[in-house]
Amino acid sequence: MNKRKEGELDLKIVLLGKAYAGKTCLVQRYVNQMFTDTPYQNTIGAAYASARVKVHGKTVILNIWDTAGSERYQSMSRIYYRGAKAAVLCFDLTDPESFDKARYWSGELERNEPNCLIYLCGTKKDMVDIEPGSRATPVSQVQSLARDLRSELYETSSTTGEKVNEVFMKIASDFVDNIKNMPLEKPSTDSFRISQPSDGQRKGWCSSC
Amino acid sequence: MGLVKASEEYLCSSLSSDSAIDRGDASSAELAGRLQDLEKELISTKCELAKVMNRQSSYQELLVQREDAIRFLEGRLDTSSVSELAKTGSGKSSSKNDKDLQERLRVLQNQNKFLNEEVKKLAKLRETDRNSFYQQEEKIRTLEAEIEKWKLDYVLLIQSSIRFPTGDSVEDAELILFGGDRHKIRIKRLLEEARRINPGLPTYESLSNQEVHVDSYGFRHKFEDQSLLLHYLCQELAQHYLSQAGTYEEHQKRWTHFMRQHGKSVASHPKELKPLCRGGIPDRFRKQVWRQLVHFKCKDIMEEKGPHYFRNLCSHLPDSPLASQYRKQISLDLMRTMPSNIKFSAPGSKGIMDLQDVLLAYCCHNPTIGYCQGMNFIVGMALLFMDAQDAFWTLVAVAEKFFSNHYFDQNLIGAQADQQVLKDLLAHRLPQLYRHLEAIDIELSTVTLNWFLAIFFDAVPFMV
Repeated sequence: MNKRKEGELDLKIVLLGKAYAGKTCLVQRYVNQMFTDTPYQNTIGAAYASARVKVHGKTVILNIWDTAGSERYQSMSRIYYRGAKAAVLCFDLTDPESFDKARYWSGELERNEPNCLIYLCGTKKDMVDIEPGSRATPVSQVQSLARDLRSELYETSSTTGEKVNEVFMKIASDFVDNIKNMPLEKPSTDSFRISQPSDGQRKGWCSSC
Repeated sequence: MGLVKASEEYLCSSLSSDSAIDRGDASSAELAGRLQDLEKELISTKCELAKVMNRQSSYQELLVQREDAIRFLEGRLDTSSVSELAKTGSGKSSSKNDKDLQERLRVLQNQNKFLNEEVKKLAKLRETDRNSFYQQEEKIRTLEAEIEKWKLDYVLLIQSSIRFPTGDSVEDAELILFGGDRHKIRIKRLLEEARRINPGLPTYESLSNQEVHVDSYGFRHKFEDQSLLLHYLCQELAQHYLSQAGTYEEHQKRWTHFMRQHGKSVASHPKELKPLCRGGIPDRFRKQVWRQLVHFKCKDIMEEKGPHYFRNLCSHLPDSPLASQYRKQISLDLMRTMPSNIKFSAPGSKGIMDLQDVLLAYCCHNPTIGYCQGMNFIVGMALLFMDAQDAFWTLVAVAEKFFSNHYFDQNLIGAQADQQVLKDLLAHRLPQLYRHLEAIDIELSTVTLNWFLAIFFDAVPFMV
């Protein structure tokens, strides 16, 4: 967890989407600015990553929860998206089912987290660029969902990095704008801070192995 | 002697170490000094001993010669006395001769006595020398053991110099060491030394040239960052030193003994097996022990289904509707199980095919559970040590016997229940931590769910 300094803002973001939609790749591409040839392990439960960005003169710490896409983990997703200020709904541009899943998640979020802003994100854009026929859902259909959700729509590629930064920067700047517009809002209860553990407590890198 | 030299070098080089381990170095230097003194003393004592032994052997030779001479003279005395008796006439001259001979005999006997004393004295001297020699050897052994401990402490210290500047991901880790190249040089030297005993250890050169090192489990390691490379090498060295340490040897011995006695029925001796397993199963027994424990757990199912069950399931896979239901998800996860392991990194390789067979076979074996992400890690782990059939039974044992039947079901009810139990336990046993997590609104299962589901696959270092 990034240590929060005075004046910095915490922002909880959750990534939701069907298995193999490329959620982990998107997060890793953004956080590490690279795409590796070796695949990532499939995610169990959820993985956490964080990044620090500066927008409108404010430093925002993005706490990103990268959830598992597998159906079975759906019932547990609530613990990951609870209190999230932004959700990135990922769907694979070449997989029709994954778009249906994105739709499912949007419903789920509107019911349980009405204050969470939704960002629709079609992944694997590079594959559609190479082979336009592989696009699984008509653009109009995707746009109409985006309109319904009053959500931004991005088409990203973690391979080339296309639009990856844009998604997260937009999330961060929307967040800061919202706070500026509501100056009286109390600090959100879901932002948290872990005090630096003392030496004895922290195991961190296991030295005995 | 080679070892002593090496440790001496090690100790001498300790003198030039940085302040971070000053205290250790001071006493290392002291040890080195002591060791050198002792060694010198030992050499001079050995010289002395050799000289004395030389002298002793020449005395003994002399003694033998003298004794020969005495025997010879005694013989002559006998014959001459006989001849004297015969020749009664020449009594005078012979009695004079007799006196001379008796005189000589007396002298020789004296000499003999003296030499015998001398031999005894020398033997005593030799004895004391030998004792001091043993003592010195003992001292050297203690010092060497101490040096081994220092080495382990040193690599552990370096390992613990790792920092995570942004605080959250392993990728950002950096190793912070002071003293320039000093530690790199020392670790290289330690590695060279260790490689003489264990040639499977990587070399600094190969890894720093971006070559890929494959560890004993088949995991590939490649390093872009020099300091992380050092960290990895220290990890390998620490593992090596631990495997050389006496306590580890003792543990190995206990295992060997246990396996010799109960090697065919490990599961029926849980009382002895449990503490042994907690100390770690040696790699050479892992397959055997896992296999037997799994078979023991699945005994009833195995008896019911017969010996060819797995093979039958596999042969029906291609046209099984149950398998096809999960085929896509499984095939997506095959390459995402252990991407950094050579056995699971190429599509179509044996490891990948086995993984696929086992996971699909399980879907047919238990359609209510089917495939759940996380199973792939359990099977992958099992396949590192066992064949496909035993890996299949491992999954059966985990999903149906060790865990409740609902653990991996459609809603992961069992797994969720376990998380609840863990939370309750935490509240009960570690109330302070529990209250802290509540206060900062952290859901414990966001951290622990995958520990349980994949049995700590990703949560602890692999060799543990």
